[in-house]
Amino acid sequence: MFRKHYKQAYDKIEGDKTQIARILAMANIEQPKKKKAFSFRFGTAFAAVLVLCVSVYSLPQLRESTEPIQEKTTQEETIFVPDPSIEFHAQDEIQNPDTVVNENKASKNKAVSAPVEANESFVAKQNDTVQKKSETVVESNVEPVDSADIAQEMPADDAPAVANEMRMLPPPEAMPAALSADEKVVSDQSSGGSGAAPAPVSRMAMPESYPRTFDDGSYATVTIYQQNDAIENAFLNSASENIAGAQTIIYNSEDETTILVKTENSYAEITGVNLTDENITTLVSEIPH
Amino acid sequence: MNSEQIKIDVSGAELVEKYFDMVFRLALSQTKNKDYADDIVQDVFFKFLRQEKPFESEEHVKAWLIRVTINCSKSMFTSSWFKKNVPLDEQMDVAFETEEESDVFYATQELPPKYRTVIHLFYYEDMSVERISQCLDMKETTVKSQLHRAREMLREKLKRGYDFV
Repeated sequence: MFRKHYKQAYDKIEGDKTQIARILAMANIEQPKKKKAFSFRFGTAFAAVLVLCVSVYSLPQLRESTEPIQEKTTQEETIFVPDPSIEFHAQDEIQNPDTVVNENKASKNKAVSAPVEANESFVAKQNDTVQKKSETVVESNVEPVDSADIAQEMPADDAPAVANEMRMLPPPEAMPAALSADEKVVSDQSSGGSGAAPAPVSRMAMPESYPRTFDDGSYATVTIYQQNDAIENAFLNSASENIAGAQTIIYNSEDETTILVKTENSYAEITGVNLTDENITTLVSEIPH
Repeated sequence: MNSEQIKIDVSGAELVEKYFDMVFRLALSQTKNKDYADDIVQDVFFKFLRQEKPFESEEHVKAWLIRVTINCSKSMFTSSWFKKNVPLDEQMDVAFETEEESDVFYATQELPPKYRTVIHLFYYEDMSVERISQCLDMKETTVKSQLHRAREMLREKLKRGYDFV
């Protein structure tokens, strides 16, 4: 009974057979090929892995690409820039000739009392010359003076020292081009004497100056220049004598003696106390010819 | 391919003609909704046409269709779409000729799904307990116990005494 009623009840309900048949006919279902399925699945998986790898690979690249740029910019930013304050300082030096560039110059102004025009012009232009000299010897890439020839003419003991000193001086050709307000001035050298804070300057730009003492108690300070217009003018206006192969002008005062030296390759200024002729000859001979 | 296994080449039209009623009514017993049953029939037939596994016989095809129909019905109930959409709680508008048909139909609709399955396969499809157990991948004792419990529940619902032969 139950089976009969159950079947009769469900037989009353029918589905939309025609619609289903039509849908199946329109679908045109094909038997899936293993190759197609495999290729679809493999292709999808490969594409997913490829996208993942590209995304992972690209991220570090982006970081690395920015880091060098940042490094470069930082490097560029850290390039040493000349201190503009030095220029003003140099100008002050020029405008105020009384300001001593270095201690030797200051003492020289006091010591030199010879009423010689060349001497006065030399003193007046001393600071200017030193200033210019300092300005020209800023570039670290300036060609050093060939010390080989100098070493040959100098005494054996002093040749290495002098050669090293001369090596630090730029050649004459470099002097006019180096005159620039942007360059660091070696007034730092003088700033030590005047009490102002020196700006960082290469030692190679400074005129070489070294002390010299003798056994008899006399001492002197030797300053060597590659180019010195004041000294040049002094030699033009005054008579000179030849000592140890170099032209010299000697100024004697009560306290000290000033000797201007001119050689083929350099100029020098020697300031000493109780210098004898032998001492003077020795000092002049030590100067690179 | 094994010689004993003969691929049953059934077209879409033949498929509908042969097995539509069986699949539809089984889906109806599971879903208690005519529209849902149509959707399940469509899904089952699509799956049948796509699969490549060869069938040994028509009985194998029938068993396969029954199994897939029941699985699709379960999948529909667990789908998120079904959970978010509340079906209209209305009885199917069926014109039954007798009151007994109506009582039996609605009484079985109130049974749990697993009991409805065995009841339908046993009483409508005339399948034996052994075949039901093979089709549903269940033990025969399980099928028997489910039938027994379903009958007990129907006896309580149906006031008239029915012989569940």
